[in-house]
Amino acid sequence: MSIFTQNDKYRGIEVHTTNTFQGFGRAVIFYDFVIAQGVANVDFVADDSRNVVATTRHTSALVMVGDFNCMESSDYSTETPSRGC
Amino acid sequence: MQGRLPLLTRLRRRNWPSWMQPEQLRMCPGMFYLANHVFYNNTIKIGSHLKVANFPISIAFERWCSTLNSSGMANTTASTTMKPSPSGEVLPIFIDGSNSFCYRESNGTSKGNADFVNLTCHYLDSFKDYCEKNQVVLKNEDIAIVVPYLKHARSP
Repeated sequence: MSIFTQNDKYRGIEVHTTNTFQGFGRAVIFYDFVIAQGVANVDFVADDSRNVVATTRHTSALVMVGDFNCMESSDYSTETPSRGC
Repeated sequence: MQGRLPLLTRLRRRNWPSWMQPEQLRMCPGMFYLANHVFYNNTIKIGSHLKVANFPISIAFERWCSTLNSSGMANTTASTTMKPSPSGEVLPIFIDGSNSFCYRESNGTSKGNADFVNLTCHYLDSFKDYCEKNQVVLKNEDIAIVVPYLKHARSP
């Protein structure tokens, strides 16, 4: 993620952890879940207090990037509207 | 134990006067749906004055989503186009990056994933280009990337 601080094209785009971004906001948020299938301990990613911060910081657009197979095993996949993705 | 609790929780436990805001007044309609459903049990109302028309970036976002297919990649055929958001709302999207490699730092528990860095850059570039081509003002300062792990935030 240091590409965002080193590349002029991305100057101004900030990269934060869920802990450091509490209380801040942007129009557009990309939430990168990091974990992939096969990772045993998903600790932070399954933490509601961190997820609620990450999914409420935007005003206009939220793009979540993750491995759907990891999310599928959690409660988050239930009853949320599908956009076919 | 108390040090681990958020400040607001601690103040409320000490009986400081507080009032729960029952209305979401900040985000484009639809953008709060996920958090409201998963974390707040649908108890938060959406401010009646909020309209998608007042969020030009959200409108551009919805149109950009229509250029992606159901897996989040560039759309090639109309039959695989991502479903549109319900009328009067713009929903968040989830990009599925299957078969990526997540590593753990050698002397700790923090994690990183170079594949997801590339994927995030790809979609960020794509959305920025779309906004630029369609003359929607989207500055870099309007964008942030949030990750759960410090190792990932500091990765190359």
